[in-house]
Amino acid sequence: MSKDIYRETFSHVRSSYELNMEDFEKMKTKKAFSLKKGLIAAAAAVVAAVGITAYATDFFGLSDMVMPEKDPVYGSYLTLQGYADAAESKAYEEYRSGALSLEEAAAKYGLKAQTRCVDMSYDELTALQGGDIFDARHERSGCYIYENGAFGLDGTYALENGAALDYQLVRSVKGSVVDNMLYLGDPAGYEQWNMDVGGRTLALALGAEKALVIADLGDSFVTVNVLAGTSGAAETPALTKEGLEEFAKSFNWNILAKVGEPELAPAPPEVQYGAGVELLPEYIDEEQSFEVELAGWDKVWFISYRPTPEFGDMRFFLSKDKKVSDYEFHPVCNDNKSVSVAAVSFEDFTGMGVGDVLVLLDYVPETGAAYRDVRLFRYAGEGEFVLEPGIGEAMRQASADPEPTVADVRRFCKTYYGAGVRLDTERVTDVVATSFTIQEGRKRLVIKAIGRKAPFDDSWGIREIRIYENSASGEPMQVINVREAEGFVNGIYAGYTEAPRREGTMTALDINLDGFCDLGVQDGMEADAPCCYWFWDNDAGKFVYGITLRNAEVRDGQIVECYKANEGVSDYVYNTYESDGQGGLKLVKSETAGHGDAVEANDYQGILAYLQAQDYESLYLRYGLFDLTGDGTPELIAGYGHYEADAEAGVWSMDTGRLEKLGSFDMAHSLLYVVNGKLTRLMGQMGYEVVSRIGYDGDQVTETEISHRVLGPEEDYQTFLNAFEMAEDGDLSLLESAGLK
Amino acid sequence: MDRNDFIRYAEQYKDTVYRVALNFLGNPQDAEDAVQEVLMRLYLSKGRFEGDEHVKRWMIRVTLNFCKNAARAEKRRVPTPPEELALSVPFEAEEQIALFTAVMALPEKYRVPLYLFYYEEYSVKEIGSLLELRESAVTTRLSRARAILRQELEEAEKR
Repeated sequence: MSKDIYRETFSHVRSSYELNMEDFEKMKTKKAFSLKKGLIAAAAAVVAAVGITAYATDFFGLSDMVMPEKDPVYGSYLTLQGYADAAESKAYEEYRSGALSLEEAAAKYGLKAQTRCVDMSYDELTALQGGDIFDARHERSGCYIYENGAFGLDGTYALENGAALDYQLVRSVKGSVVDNMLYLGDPAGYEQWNMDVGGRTLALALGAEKALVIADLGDSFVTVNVLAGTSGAAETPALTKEGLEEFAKSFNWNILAKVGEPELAPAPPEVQYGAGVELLPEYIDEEQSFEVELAGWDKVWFISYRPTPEFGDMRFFLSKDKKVSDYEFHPVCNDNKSVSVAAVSFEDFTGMGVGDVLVLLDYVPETGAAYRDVRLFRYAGEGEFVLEPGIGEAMRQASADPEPTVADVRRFCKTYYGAGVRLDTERVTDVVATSFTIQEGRKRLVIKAIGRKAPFDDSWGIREIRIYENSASGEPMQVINVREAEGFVNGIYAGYTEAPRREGTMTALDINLDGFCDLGVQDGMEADAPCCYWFWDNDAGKFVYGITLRNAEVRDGQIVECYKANEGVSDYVYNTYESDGQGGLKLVKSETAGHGDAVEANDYQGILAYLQAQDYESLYLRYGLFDLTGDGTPELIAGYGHYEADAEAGVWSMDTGRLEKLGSFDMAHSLLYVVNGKLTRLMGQMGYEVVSRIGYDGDQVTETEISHRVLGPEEDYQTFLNAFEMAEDGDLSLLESAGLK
Repeated sequence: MDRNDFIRYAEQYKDTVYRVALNFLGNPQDAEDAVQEVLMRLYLSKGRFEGDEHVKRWMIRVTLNFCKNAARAEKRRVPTPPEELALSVPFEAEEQIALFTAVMALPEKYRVPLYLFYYEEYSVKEIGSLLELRESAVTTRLSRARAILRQELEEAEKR
């Protein structure tokens, strides 16, 4: 893929948004938060309840289903498993508390947990239920269904007034528990009543943002969550009581009441890969399995393994005993095709001096022409074989033969990889990857790195460095084999390094700070990949392997190495080296720290100073302390930004004894509160309000929306009782009070 | 912001915002929401920008923040399947459709750096700054994205 093709492609991707200045000018008159310098809003208020109405208790309604214990942030909720005091709801509540798994919670109450569900078409659902579950004004889409017949679906209904109602229907089955629930907001915000449809009593509830239709059908319980309410929105007009009743009548409740258990195919077993796979004789293609001698393996069985129910393509293994695999070649699954092995060969196709593994596979797809796939696994050293991804395509482009043979592949590879020669001689395709001239004492040295480009990639690898005195002719005065480096890892080929650019394969710099130029060889694609250094030994008059470092740079007379501690975490290792006075390096400091800016600071005060030193607007520089991780020690919540619209807040922690940045969240047009002990963000802009909770999930800062609404013409943004206390730019009093200054 | 400046920047960069958001969220409706939101923030911005590049970078940063929030929202739309997404774009060649589909099938963490690198031509360092990633992480993601794309495009050719 070239940059030009990418740009050409994405130049066609355009927004259809049409700028209308009137919209902007109109919206400007709507209210928005603005931060007044020196003032953090704090008002005595309560969370505004949207809507009115008595919370009825004397008929079948929400009071029978709302769980008694509210969620501390989200408020009231329904389990969707039935009544609040039913065993199903109690089991679900225990599961939700985190104390028990779903299976354990269900078993405690003598119920069954339903965890496996599959997709089902509407026609299949109709057949299972014995009829249509709703009338023709509903879109007929599929559902997901559990083993016991509990199911759920997302649907759309066309009201008689033309409006489309989106909804979610969940039918739970008594005696079992599924992982499903629904937050309700404030039950007092719903108008409720009962309605009789076909002999079934339904509970209807109409709120500002949503509506509910609930039915107890004997062996099952149905909850329909309608994604519309009395407030309406741009795409969905306001829902009325009549509209909700019309919607409720559109379901065939007697059909819904029937509980049928679908016949689910047995769950496919998990596929096991690699070593330790049991090789069943009935799947071994004996004609295409051979006992061979392979590099790195000595005598071993090459097994061609036919498709199984869980893996729909051929697989190839190495096994010492033909019973259990010791190695698997990179699996490729072209499903829905019939496949067979046409040929296997163990020659040296890539010119590395050792045998590779070639498999030719014949595919017959359900539609389209049959074709032959050329799958070449080149030997990469240490018993590993790497799939050469483009060989089949390259052959197809070179020749129209739809059924290449082993001989065809051999001929093609001779040209593509160069003549097959042994490792210790010059190869046709090896080139001077890079070269330069340096001055070492009185010697003028010409350095050449010999290597090649990977055939299907932009990466380069070198295998040796040749050092010449004065000019690059004649015999080199020294030849370095890159394998000499400690911790060398095979790159593009066995015995070769790997680097993203030709020029980046080798560098020259004084890495041991002794005044002489050294050589560095990159051994990996990432920017913090290992770089192997050979120091110039001026007494011996040659280069000697010295050290391997990662992402090292010279900084103020020291060498600083920085690399990620482990994949998937935000810790970095920082090692500092100095010259040992004898031509080597000694480690003087090693530490592990969080993301970049932690290098600039060791504590909260340091971070505040660091932010202050950046180019941020003073108005947005403020901070507070809050125990986000829940371990009893406060995190630093520090805001910064250039303008209102790009304001952010970063979260730093000292939980581990060292400063670490946990993440950040948007603070544009926002205020922070503490609601029910949780850090809560209230965003208000142009009449649109969002309330969200800021949390931490053990790995990163999270933000979860609690509510959103469009303000009416006379409405104002809500406020909460407890503003999150924040100090302004330069005020360290909060740190002092907490003993963190 | 001056009205004429705003109109100029809005027309000049709304597609940039759309593409960044589409790469992040994978859904054209969400991407259009992002355009609307970011343009509104630009309109209301009281800051002084130091030239077009500053505005563009600011808009990309605000878009990324919007996308992060949108991705966390409970009612976030499901990403549109890449094949379906490709149908809505007036490509001129099969090759473009294949590339677009393959790119949009990548995980989001690869798509955004790829777009900023190949289309907007930001350096690895600049992308690291925009995405709050270390340069090495950006390089790794670009490298892996290319490797996956290469394989996908080759597989697609076979099909």
